[in-house]
Amino acid sequence: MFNRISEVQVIGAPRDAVPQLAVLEGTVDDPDRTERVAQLALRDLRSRGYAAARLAVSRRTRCGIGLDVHVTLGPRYRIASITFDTGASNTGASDTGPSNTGASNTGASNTGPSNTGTSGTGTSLPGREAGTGAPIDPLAALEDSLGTVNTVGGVYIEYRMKRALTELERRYRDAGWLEATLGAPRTRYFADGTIAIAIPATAGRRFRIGSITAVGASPTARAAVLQTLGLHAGDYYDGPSVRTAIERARKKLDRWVELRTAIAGDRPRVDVEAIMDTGNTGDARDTRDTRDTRATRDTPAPREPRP
Amino acid sequence: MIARAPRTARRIAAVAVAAIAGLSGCAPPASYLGATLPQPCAAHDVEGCLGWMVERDLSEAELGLYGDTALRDYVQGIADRLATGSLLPHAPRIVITDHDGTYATSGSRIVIARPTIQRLDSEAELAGVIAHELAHIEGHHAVVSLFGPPPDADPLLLRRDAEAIADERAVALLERAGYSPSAMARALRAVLDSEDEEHPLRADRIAHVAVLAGHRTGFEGRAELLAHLDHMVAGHDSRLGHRVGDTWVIAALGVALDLEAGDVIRGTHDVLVVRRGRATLAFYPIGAPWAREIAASLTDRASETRRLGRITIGTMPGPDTPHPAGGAAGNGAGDAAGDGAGDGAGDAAGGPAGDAIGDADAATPVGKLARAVRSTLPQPLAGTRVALLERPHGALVIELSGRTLPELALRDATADELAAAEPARIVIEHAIRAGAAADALICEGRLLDDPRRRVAAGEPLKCADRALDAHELALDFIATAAP
Repeated sequence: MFNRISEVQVIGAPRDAVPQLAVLEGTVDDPDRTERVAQLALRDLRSRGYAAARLAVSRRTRCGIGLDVHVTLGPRYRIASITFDTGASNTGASDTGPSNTGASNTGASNTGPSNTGTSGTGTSLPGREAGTGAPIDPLAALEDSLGTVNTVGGVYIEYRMKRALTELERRYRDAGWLEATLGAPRTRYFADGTIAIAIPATAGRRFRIGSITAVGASPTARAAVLQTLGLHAGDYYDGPSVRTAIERARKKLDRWVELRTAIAGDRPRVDVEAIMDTGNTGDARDTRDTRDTRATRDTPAPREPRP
Repeated sequence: MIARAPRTARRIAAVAVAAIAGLSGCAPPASYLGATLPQPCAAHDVEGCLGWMVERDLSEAELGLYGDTALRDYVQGIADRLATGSLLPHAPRIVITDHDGTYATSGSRIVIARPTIQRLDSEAELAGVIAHELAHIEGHHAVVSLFGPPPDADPLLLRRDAEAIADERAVALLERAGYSPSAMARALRAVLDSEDEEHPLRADRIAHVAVLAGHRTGFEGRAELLAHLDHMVAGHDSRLGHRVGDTWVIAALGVALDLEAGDVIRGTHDVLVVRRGRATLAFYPIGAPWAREIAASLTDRASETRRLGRITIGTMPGPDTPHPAGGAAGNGAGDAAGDGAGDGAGDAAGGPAGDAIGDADAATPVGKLARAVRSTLPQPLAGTRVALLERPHGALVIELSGRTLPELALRDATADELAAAEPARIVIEHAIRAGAAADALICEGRLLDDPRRRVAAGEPLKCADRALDAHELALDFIATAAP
């Protein structure tokens, strides 16, 4: 047996400010569930910019069960600036600098750094790269396009910003900036309802492709793979390009080719190794020590003529 | 949603993402699935834009709308009545689909499945289903399912909370609108036939709403519902077609496939799979605008116009493959889909995808969004060999797999075949004697009501105008062509 919530009163804000709680009218009185719903409602308020919103739910048991929802909205905050704080150690001068990764600046990443136009203290980082195949978060995409969340003029949602920064860091590394780090955002709230966000950023060195080798199969097959890969030692390492090259080799040569990469000691170099099917799949797929293999095969890959 | 809808999540995501494409300030596209984006999209009215796109997706990508205006108006009237007791300023718009899956979606839309309506016994029960979805809209629950909860929350727990709240709130909405609150329990009993982790247990849901309803009574409206169900299509999704003798007829596209001895036909939700020898082919109809986008994106594609329609054959690209600038010669797979006249080389299919969203530069936000949109609409998996047959009212997708490609001998369906492939419809008949519906001496073998239902003499009952085949009764079916 259970009781029914006969009434929900919202005090301090319109009922539609907390619809999640307002619809509890007529439902089963379940205090634990009400608490979870209250947390959701509070998150929703904050995602709409009410960063200082407070919410308290009290139960009345006289004349049936009633809920009193006390809401304090507070100011509606908007982001005034997002800056990348690269600090003194990072001048963006490593190799050609982080802004030259070749990634397209879409102006729409929810990481927002490239389209804030306010990167006063640091280096503007590129937005998300196209063509990596990573799934697109519909909410992020929606709000990026609308400029409503984690962009200048939009509201700030910390967990989403952190998630976006993690993704940006991953993409940055995939573009050859293997030492790139993006720290937790630091926020300052102002009385005029604005927020300033600073993101600690370190670019580090940009890595190039070291050696390109092929192992397994016959010498002819290995040469064919290396030629098909079309990678060149000395080029900047670019994850999507390397993966595309492997895919191309698999397709063109119609055989199993696996990719293995390893950082070459202290140098900003990534050695790329194409492991080929020898006809014995088990042998080909075994996990040998990459560094040992590289040490014995550290020969420059034959290069195709550049166009 | 009351029960899990196969494509709900994908569709919601598609709509959300599609809306973005339209709303993006830097975006060139002004159309979505062949139609110009409406004013709400241009005016950054996200909700209005999303709602429009939901319907566009259902009609132009999935061929899924059930176009009975009178029925829609009737169901809309029920929603209007329920909304007066809700927190909403106006009633959600009702959209009726021809396939399973009832759910609330962004844009203040309630999508209700025709097969769901068929299972209900009174207007009050239908109101219960609508009230459940309306409560989701009232409580902004779609935001949870669309965008996902924050990482520190238990999504399933939140999902189950939302479903339980919608059930319970529906009882209150029914009562406020003058409907019998106890109809909610009956509605759940009628439409729930499986468990899933996103919903509380079926038995718990029914017990909760029954207790909440107590013994309060209200308007039932069985006769009102049945009057509106008269002549409604009966059975499951009719888009995949019907078997007529040794032929499979897809009436929606006017296409017939002659079955051969040993063919195995299997229907699973929205795909018809035919196994012929060592080949397996999957068929499903889609809307023409979406078909054109898919056709233009195929790699190694070749197309030609035959008596049956334009056929494009190619390989479905991966999600990151940009639209190719032009086509390439076929590889002979053309024999599989046509009448045997062509060799698949045909005329190379170049040209644009037809819709600006699909053509957007992959490096732009719109391009990325376009990929996301494409990934959510019905389409072959990446790498699949595909034949697309364009017909006047849509297109047939044929996914080709297996080591050999058989001759399919697709052809225009004859008038007789189309008549025979007409879906069964509901007819309302009246019990000749009191007792269980099964013993009411009417519509033997065609009864659509619960056979255990107690009826009085003269009471109306739902029957089909003909006996339903197995594939019309079940979402999953398997059939073998006789030698």
